[in-house]
Amino acid sequence: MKLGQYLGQAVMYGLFIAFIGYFASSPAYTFMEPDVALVKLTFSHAGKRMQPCRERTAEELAAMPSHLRKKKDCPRGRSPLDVEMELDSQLIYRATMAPGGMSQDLASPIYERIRLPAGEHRLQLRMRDDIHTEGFNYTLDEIVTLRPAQILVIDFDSEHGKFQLE
Amino acid sequence: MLRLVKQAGHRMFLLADKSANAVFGTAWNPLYHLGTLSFFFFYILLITGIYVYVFFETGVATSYQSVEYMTHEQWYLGGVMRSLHRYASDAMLATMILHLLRGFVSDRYRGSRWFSWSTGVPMLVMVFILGLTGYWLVWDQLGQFIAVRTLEMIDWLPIIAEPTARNFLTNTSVTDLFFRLLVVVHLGLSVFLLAGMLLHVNRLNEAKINPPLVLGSGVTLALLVLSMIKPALSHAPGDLSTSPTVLNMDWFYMFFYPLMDIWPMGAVWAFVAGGLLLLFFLPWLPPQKPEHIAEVYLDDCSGCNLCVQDCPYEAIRLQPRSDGHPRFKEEAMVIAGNCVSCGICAGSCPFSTPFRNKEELRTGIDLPNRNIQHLREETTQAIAQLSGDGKVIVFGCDHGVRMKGLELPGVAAISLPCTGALPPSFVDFALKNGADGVFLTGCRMGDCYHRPGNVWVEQRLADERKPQLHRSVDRRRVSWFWAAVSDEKLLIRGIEEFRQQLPATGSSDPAAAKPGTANRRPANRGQQ
Repeated sequence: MKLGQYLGQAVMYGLFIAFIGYFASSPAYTFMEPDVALVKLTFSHAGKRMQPCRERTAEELAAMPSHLRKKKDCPRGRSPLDVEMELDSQLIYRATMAPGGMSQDLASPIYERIRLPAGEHRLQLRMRDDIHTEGFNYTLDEIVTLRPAQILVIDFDSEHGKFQLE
Repeated sequence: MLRLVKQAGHRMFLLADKSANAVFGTAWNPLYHLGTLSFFFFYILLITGIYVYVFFETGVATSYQSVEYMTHEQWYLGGVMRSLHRYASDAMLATMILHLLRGFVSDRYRGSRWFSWSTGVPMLVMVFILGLTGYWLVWDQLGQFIAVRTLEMIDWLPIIAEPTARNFLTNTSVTDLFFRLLVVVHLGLSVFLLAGMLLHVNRLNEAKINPPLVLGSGVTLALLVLSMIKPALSHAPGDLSTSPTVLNMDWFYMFFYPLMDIWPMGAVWAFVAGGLLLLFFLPWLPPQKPEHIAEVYLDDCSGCNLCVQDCPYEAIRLQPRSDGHPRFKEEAMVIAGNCVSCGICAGSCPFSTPFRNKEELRTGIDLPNRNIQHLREETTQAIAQLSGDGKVIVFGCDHGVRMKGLELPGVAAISLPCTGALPPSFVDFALKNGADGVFLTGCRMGDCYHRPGNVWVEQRLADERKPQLHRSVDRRRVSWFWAAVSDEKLLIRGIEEFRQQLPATGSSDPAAAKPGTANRRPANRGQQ
């Protein structure tokens, strides 16, 4: 093997590690501008029943197989969730989330990523979980200060029926 | 259109081969060892992975700290091991992709080759999962980005009821248990990958899974140098209350993540999953036309096992004799699904001799469409059309230099599916029937379309493999040059030189006729 070939191999190996070394960490990817914050509106909440439970009559119970006799008849379907979010009195998000499950009897999951400029903002949230209700039955109105690159998680505490900011 | 793309890609590889051959020589050309290099990088990953795992402390808080300890406190070994682990994983993916591309552009993925191709695609997925979980485990900002974006991508699928990304909402929602599970996935999948790699080469006879020692040492040294001059570093620790902003992304594994920011998630899924599905089913898009499967002719099959040994695709097995032959206990049997019609089996059969005085020439195993009867007729006709001194018959293959282009004055060329399909006795036959010399050619050594075809030819000529070239053949009248499609000029020059150096008809040199006396020869060129 000639000297030129050894040098050529050194060059080839050099190109190989340059290629691997460069693309292993470059070019840098800007996922988010530094003056932006990220709001994650996410929760999983089951809406109210579409139809209220009712007591079965004695005749109805008698007609049912003995192991299926339950006094209450509760239709499984749940209300969808209507969710709205305003930032500084501007509507920035609105959605109607259908309940999960084949029979639409599970919680309505929501997971939204919203990028907002960092700084102080008035945040208003509204949610309705019962189609029989006029207007929204859960609300939040709060002034928040978002620092650059902050992730603000907006969750909903179903047990206490209120929005939570984390 | 697809054919044009493949041709253009093939030409690019051939050009790259040319440069790499000039520098590395054919034996060490990394472009001929892309598959074995992928195996080799996996070995590096295993060794470095074991070391890194010894010092790795699994947990939300401890993962990052332990990796930082290795990188900074124990930079001389732990840091180097970590860097090697990262760079070897990138190199493995790069060689896998090139290996895949090479197989595609040279049309080595359809027909019976579908198995190797389609088993390679799930391995590619496994390598991606291994790479991404590896980054995830470090639990720095990049790991956090991968965790959240991957789960958000998975959550797009309608089969997920509750968004899994909710498990990575806040720092308190991430558990050590999850990291332990991730380690199990990372380690377990590497075992599955190894099994997949072995399955990938399962159908190949004498599959090579290790690159030449020199090449292996070269790439190891190169990665070691890279690890020293550019050690792998972590980003800031993962913190789910803060979003990563600028990331030094590993583009080998993460090239599709930015797409999530510019495309709807459904389009990203279509790109990733659709691309993988397309890759998986590529051998059938369009399906290759049915090949002429090799046939066994029991009258001439002794069950000698030579075709079984030489078939590159494990398409031949021996089975108990079905014709009650009094002497031979076994017979060859062709597995149709594995046969690619290379004809190497006919080249290996001791019965494949054109000297047999039969009206219909047959051998033990042969291709029905291009059998040795045809080959004998072609050879006889080719010699008959030559005149004057220095009559040379060139036997080549359908995948190397175009044979028609070699038909120069005094030269006739015959193409076979693979030069390995040429029974050595045809060299003798050509010389005894009027040719002054026989020149063999075919794909570049190390890049044979039918894998070891040209290796088998050389070994048969050198008396190292059965069936051998007869001892009485004057070796000065036999030469070869393994040429890539782009080497046509070199090949023509080689044939011309061979013609000029041919000894005068009738001269004899007993030493030259002795097999196994050839000097060590360059990998692509030789004379016996």
